Amino acid sequence: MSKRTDGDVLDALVELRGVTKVFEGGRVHALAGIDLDIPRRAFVAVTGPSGSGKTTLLNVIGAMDLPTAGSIRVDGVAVDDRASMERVRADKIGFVFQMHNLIPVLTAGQNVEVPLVPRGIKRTARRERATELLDLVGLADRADSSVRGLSGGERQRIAIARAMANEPPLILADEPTGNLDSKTGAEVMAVLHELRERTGATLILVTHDESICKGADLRVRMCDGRLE
Amino acid sequence: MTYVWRNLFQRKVRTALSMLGVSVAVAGIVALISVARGMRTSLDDYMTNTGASLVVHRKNVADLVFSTVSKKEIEELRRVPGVQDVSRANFSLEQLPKTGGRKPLLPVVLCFGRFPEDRIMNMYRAGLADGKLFQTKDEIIVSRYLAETLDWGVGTTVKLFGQTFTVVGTYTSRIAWENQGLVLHGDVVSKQLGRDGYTVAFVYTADKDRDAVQKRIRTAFPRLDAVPPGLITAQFEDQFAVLDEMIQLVTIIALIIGVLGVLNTMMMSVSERTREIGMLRAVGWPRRLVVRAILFEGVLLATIGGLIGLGLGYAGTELLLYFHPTSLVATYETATFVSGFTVGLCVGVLAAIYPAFRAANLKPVEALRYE
Repeated sequence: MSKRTDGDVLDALVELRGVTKVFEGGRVHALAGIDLDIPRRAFVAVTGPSGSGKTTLLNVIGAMDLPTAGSIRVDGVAVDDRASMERVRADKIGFVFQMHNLIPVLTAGQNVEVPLVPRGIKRTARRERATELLDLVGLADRADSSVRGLSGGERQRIAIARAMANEPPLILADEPTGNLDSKTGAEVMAVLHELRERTGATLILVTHDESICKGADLRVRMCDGRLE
Repeated sequence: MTYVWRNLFQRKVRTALSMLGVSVAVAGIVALISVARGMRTSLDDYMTNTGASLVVHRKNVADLVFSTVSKKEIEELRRVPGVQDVSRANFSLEQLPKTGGRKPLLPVVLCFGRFPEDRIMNMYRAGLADGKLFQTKDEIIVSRYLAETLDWGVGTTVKLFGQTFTVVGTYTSRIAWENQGLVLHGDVVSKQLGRDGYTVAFVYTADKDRDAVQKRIRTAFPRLDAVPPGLITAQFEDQFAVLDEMIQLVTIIALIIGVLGVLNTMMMSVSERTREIGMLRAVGWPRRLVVRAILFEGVLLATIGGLIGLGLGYAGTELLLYFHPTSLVATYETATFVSGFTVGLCVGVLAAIYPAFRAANLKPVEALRYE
């Protein structure tokens, strides 16, 4: 169980216990014994200076990397080996990267379908789901457009739609507005929040931008691999 | 599928070059095997073309050119019940004399020793293009191909193995390698070979008597064997072992070249898409799906390249035959095309295995940082 800032007691979606991550043979401690519970449906903002361990924290929560020590559970599933990492990434997590990381040879709709492919969902059903999500991010008319011709804001909205494709309980966003101007960034954040509200997903957002932390249920500030 | 297809066809130049690598490998195999098969069947065709019922040669020889049938055996063969006629034949392969003409395809000339009075000469009579058949030991007839290439027209004097011959006629033949040769008196060839006999004997019988005559010859001549002319290749299967080994060697070389070409493309493709593959892994693509996608890409590339290669192989062989209509022959068999296509597929799969596993083993967190 975790305690929210407003005092409500909720189930923890993510549980970190003594999570440590070291690099370069132990010389760099990116994470130093982190204990953290992330509640369900929460909006969590992770801030801190460059090199403080924000992205590493996001990577271990996102089952992209295993901690050197400690344990992680996402939605009740222990992330402790390759198989569990793959399972958690496929079923529990949606990623929004700073660089949208869309596949340039695919259309907007096909990019949104990408996470649905390993689930064995039929093409028609995938297509329907992608159209529905593109509609939610305001890009229904771009479903068949190549992503190459889209603006940065549009691409990031497609990336958000892709992150939501599997209806994951947890969305991880690493500087999602980092490459956008402030107006477009605000629009992208509005889309992200709207979708989070609709789906009830938890959002963990890593950012340098204090303005987009407004309204966060939980603010985590990191410094030298520790929580402040 | 869409992802794989688009990856291939959005990078057209690279894909085209890889396909070309596979195509050339497959085309080479198809052309080589077809021409080799043509050479095999042309031996049977040649023997059948003589009109003989049986070809008699020395038993257990590794190659027909080492066979000898003595003069005495020829006389005895003539007396076997059911035998209507016996034609004598010997072969020699000689270096080309220096002439003012162009160079023929082969640097050697096939010398067919025959006798003017033998029935086998009917074959040359039918194919006579110009002049007449030879009658004496200092006359020869040459293939029209040689005549045109070496300027050996009717009436020309030619020096061969220290002897002077007059070209009295030219012939054409539907057998490719006969078009690389000349026909002269059998005694001249025997003398040149230092043999008191002939290479083979062509035995003529009535159709109904052939099997019985074959049996009689096999019984009466323990040193000799008699086979129907269309089965001579099967009799000398070992003779073609070298050819088969050469084909296998070329196939292996083609496979290696193809694999290296496609491997290079696939490695570049995987390297360029490192971040993309990292993203796929991040959004839940398991390793096996990444492996499958890259392997499928290789197989698709090889399949299309292979099909183009089959067409190229056929077209290339036909082009060769067009330029060398009298000296080359090709036999197209389904098995040849299946072999070529299989090699193409192997190229695709083998070349994609390493890049596929390399891509699948990329750590998503590192792949996403890749610049």
